[in-house]
Amino acid sequence: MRLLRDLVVKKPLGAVAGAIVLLLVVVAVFADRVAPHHYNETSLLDTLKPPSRAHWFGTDELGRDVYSRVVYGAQISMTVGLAATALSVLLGAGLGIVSGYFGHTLDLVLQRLVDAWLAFPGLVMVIVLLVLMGPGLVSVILALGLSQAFPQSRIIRSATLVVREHAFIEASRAGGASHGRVLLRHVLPNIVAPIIVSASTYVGFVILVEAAISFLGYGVPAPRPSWGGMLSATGRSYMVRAPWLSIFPGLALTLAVFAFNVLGDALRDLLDPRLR
Amino acid sequence: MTRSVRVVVAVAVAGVAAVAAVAPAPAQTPKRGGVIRVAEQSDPVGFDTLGKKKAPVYTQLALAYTHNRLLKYDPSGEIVNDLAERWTQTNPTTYVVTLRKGVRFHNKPPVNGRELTSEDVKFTFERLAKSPEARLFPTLKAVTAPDKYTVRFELSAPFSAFVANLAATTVYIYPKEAGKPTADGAGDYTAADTAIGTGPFTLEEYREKQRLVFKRNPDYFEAGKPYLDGVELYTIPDAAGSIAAMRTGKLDLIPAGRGEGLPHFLVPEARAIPGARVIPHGLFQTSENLIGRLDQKPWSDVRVRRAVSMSIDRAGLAKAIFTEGAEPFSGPIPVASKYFLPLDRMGESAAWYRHDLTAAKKLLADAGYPNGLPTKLTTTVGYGPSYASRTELLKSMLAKLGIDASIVTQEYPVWISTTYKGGFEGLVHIPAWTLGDEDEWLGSYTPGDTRNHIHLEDAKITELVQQARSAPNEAARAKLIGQFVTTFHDQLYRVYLPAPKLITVTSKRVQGYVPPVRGYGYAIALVNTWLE
Amino acid sequence: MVPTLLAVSVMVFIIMRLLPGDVVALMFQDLGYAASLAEMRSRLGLDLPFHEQYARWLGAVLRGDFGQSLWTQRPVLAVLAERLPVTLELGLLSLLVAVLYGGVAGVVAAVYHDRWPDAALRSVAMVFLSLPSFWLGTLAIVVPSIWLGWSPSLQLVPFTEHPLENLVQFLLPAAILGSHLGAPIMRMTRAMMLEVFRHDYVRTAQAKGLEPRRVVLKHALRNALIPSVTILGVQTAQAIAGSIVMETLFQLPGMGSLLVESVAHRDFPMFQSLVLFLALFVMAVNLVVDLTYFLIDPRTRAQAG
Repeated sequence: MRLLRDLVVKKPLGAVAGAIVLLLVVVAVFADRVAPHHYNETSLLDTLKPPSRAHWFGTDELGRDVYSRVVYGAQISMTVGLAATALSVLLGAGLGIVSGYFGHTLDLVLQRLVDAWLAFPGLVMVIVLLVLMGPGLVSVILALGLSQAFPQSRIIRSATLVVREHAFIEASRAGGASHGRVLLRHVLPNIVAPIIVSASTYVGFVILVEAAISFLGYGVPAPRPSWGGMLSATGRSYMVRAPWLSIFPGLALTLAVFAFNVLGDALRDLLDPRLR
Repeated sequence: MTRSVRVVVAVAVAGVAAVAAVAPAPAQTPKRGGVIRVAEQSDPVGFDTLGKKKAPVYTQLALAYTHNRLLKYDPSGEIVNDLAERWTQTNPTTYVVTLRKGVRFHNKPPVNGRELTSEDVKFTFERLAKSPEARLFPTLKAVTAPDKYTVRFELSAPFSAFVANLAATTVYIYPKEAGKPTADGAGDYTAADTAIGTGPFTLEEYREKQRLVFKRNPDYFEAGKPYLDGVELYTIPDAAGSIAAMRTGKLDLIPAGRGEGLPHFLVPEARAIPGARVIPHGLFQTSENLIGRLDQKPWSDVRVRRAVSMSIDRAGLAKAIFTEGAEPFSGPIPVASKYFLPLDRMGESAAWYRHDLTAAKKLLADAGYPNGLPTKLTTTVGYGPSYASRTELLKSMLAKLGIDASIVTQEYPVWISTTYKGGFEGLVHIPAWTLGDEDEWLGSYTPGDTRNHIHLEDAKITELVQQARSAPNEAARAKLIGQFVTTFHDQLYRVYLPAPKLITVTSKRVQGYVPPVRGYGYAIALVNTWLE
Repeated sequence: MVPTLLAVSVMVFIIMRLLPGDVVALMFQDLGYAASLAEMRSRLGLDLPFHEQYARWLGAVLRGDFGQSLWTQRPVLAVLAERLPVTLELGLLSLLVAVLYGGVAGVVAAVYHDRWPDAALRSVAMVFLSLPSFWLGTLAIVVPSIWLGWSPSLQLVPFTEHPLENLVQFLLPAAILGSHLGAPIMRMTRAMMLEVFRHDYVRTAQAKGLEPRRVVLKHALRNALIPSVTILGVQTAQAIAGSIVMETLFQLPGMGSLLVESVAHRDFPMFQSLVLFLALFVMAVNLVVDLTYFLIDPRTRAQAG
């Protein structure tokens, strides 16, 4: 696409970030090929070994290979990051478009609902939803997606409002087009750009939130390794004895979020020059 | 046979070493003064052990500073007098306790340093009868105070654990006027300003989730003690944080009151602190264990339970995780109990504690599962991350047997409300248990007891418990409890995992501290501690 | 605002009641005796039907009675009053750091835009945005304890007792949180300043012969401030979320850690009151932001008046 070419040419840093994101996705999808060991391969004889040729990132307190666990952790972080963001965009778009397009009382009522939801401290909402749904990967995705849907809906609603003002919408409606047709052919294509921009910045944020809730103890449960989980109490307790347990997951997390943020920035610069 | 001999020798050596490390140097004389800084994992939730809800552990720990009981446990686990001067059992259902004279409550309003009398004991037991702790004295009929220093306990039936339960760490003696008035007359002692007792320290300050400050009670009935001027008890939930604080000179004592104590992997860090002493010791608690519901298949089949037990590599687990030493297993009563049954006195049941995958697989096949079986393995995040990682270890050990365990991790409130009360399927990884006297341990395996989460209904066991309760003398009781333990190991109602040594760490200032084995009472040990 | 608060209160009430796990069972833990559990439940009013519980609670709240914590039996308001100063101090210090860092970096980046200081500052901001705050916090606690023999004070020193020591205690978490919050502020400041540079009245001022520096300070900054102030409103909500993590990590007894604790303990009265209070706070901040916006920008004032 033209976007891709623009990315490489005009924003080389963004292109590099994009490549990193792609690499992470590939690693996440093919984790079982990339990782030399299974993430739960315990070995009581090899506990807490520092990085070596056999174990690039060392081993943890149960003798598991940290490098493999970081690789499998990518699976969780990428899956949660992308799926939760996609879910939040979907739900947020539904809410935002309906609210912005139809306006009037519907908009008023919906926006009060969104207000109430947004008044909740964000992290708390996620924790509460997770407790409600019980631990698990699906719960985490649902909780994050649901909680981020409302802020997303605000952004999408604003974009919809802008588009709605355009003359050709009125013209189209005057010409007898149904709401559905108008939405599909006129509204949607024009809000795609802001959606992409906001979504790409959100992925990094979602990944960090997932790490934070894992840190607080509410994330994806054992034995699946997640980067946030590896940074939580276990990693902290072993910080002096085995710093490699938390250094590598932390670096991986930072790298992933950084790449998504830079990519998001580059996309925004390309798609919405007004914000430059 | 050689392995069990090695184990016994290792335990003996560890025991001697522990005693040697712990016995205070005879040549030193205690010095008066100084404030000791202690770390604890959580702060007390209220200051009432005989209130309407079960007293949290940390409340019991806090009251050990400010209150006394009639009897207490000395560091080695023997029952000795506390507020009682002497006690006698005049007949199988009557006990008479004579109180010390001249014991005074703390000089704080509204009690204002008045003398302790038998009325206070009577009042305490009236409170107890209205609290969940009434279970400690199931046959108590009446408590009377014939004179100022005498208390008479009348039971409706003999109860062999009566004296031991007088030393329970919830039966502290409360002054009537200190509590906030309540409708039933029991009084509310939840607030910090109601924590007025006869104990070696007075509560001076309580900042929630931060610290408690205790000051020396100048009128304490043990003359000359405590040596310390005061205690600062800091809430540090994170073990690594405690070590960091001690390393930078901000902490003097990391006690092991319950649970894990200091995790073993932090011991090298602790040893690296100049002058610090690391004291491994035992504690009156059982070890972590695996359970399945005994009223459901396949766990109702003893062969399956035995197979599971034989698939656990206890030696390997202990060596990898409990680097400072561990017993290969505990049992239905703690290792530190005098009724504990070690491997060499177990007879045939010792076979079930061997790590033997071939035999285990055969047992499983005999029970009808030649290809293994799938099951849930429930655990929780509530006991810390190392607990959850041990669950994963268990899963991989079970996998070698052919049992495909899928781990279900529950949030702690859910765990407590469902799994811990016996509402579960498949296997559960249950943590170490700390209860009081042996009678409590035994009682939890009778039908209808809410701690009976393994759903054990065995008429023989129930009868043994009843008989032990009303045993006429110590010898009879020991024999009955021995039978109980033997049956338990034979039937493997729980599959016990290694019982680690608990770790207490003291800084170089601390002298004379002997970690107590029994009960939540390391505050008592602080009475005999001094600082250099 | 009131209907929103009401909606929040209903939501929080319903959600709390739906959560699995029983607070009374938690209280009794491994020693549940049927009679005691039921008695405790009725004492706490948990056996009443849903809507009655809500009505009772709402009525009490409107009278100013926020009830007692189910876990510690202490009055909710007392606990909140204790915890508020901690979170307030953390939040204010973090926002201060964020504004100082974001504002200064943004201005510098705008002035040197498209040259190396700009790129450097933007990369640094991006890194701060990507670092997990709790990881940074862990490193910041552990490393000094080993290399410098320093560890944080074991308990919170109130500002009134030792102001300097108190500030030192908050310095680390505030700096970490502030760097995270400051990155969007920096970006916004920079973007707005660049926008304004291109604007007519700057050129006009320059044409009038005013010094470039005065131009920057007087006109550009004031107009760049508006969206920055707006973003502060957003960052306040972020700061609350960030304080949850920082307070847990640094063991500060603030409202953030209280939130997590009250969920873990299923302490309904505490949790409900806390959420209501925080919602009120966020809405109040947004109101203030709108007002400030109104005051700063002469154009909106002109439009309104």
